[in-house]
Amino acid sequence: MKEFHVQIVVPEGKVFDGSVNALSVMTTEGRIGILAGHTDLFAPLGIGELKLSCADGERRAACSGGFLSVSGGEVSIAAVSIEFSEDIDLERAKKAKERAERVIAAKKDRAAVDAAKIKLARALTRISVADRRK
Amino acid sequence: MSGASMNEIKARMKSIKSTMQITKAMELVATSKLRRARQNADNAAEYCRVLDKAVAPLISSPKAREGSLWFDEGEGKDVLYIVIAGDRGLAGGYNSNVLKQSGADGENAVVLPLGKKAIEFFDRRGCEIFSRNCSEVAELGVGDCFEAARAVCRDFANGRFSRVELIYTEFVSMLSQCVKRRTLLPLTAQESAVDSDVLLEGDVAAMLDAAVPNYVGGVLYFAVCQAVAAESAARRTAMDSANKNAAEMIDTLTLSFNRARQAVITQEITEIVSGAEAL
Repeated sequence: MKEFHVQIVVPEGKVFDGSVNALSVMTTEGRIGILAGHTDLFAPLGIGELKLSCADGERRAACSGGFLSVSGGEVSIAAVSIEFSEDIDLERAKKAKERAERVIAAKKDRAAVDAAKIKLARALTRISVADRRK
Repeated sequence: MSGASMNEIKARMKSIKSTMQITKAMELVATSKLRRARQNADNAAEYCRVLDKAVAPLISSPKAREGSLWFDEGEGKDVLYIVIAGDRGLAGGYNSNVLKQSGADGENAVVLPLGKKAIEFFDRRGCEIFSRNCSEVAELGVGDCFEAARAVCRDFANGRFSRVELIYTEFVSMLSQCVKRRTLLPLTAQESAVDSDVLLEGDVAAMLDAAVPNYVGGVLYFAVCQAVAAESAARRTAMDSANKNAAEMIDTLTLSFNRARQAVITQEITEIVSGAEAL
């Protein structure tokens, strides 16, 4: 399969820079897949799983928002945070999920519930990415 | 000339020496902090570069600009100044430079100060303060920056602010830091980067609403990292020159101490000799 160059950065630095066969990512409008030779594109990212199919296997990561741009066949992703499956702390994610669920169930403060929903989505993504690493 | 002046000189030397110990320690601390801060600043710069490049097609797209409030400067509303200074003094002109050049003293100025020194400064001037949450600039993480950016963007979208200006110190090199000013909102299109063929996935207006707070947060985090690195560098330089001055003062004082001691000895000899002659 034809390869293309992908660069992923988060505020703390570069987390991925290399060639991949295919890339699948969650945008705010839904999941999209990108192959080599994609037309120029801009899309904001949502909370969801990021999948990279490299020559030496697949890599998964939990992504929580950011931007994707394709320009001249090269993909750059500026994400708010990226955690590759091997770096995810499953226990922490599970605790965050429970915490968020409690806040939502309490239904006290509208803003707190909204924030908890985002946290829940992040925790669920982390858990599902981490679960598949076995 | 007597023992009294010798003691005086000795006391001064002692106090300068202890000051020098402090400045030396501060220099070492600043150097080690600087190493980490520089690493962070470099990483954030890389992020900011990719971010700018990624967002350019959206910002310069004519479709996005049309009727969008993110590109509009309202009339007669407040201007928000985000000013990043340090938490502590003793960093040469670092704090005063950025605070003086902030220009946040107009009638419609609202300030979001980052760093204890910035909060103190704008409190003293009686400026209207947007939020005091960011008091420890060295402790600010990515999350804090994004949170602050969301609050700022919300108020900009509500029409409270007509402009949002960011004033920070850029880390140029170990010896040079310069104050930078950047207009965050309204967004300005980078005409050179116009590439109208870019496919924009989804509803452009909704996309902007989602993208702008993230973009502002990213730029804010970049500025904070730069400012923290610049502060450490400024402190290191200031402490280095303080050390040099202290060493110089000790040299001068040692010289006058030796002269005083010699004078006392000479006097004693004269006294003994004249005493012996008198016998």
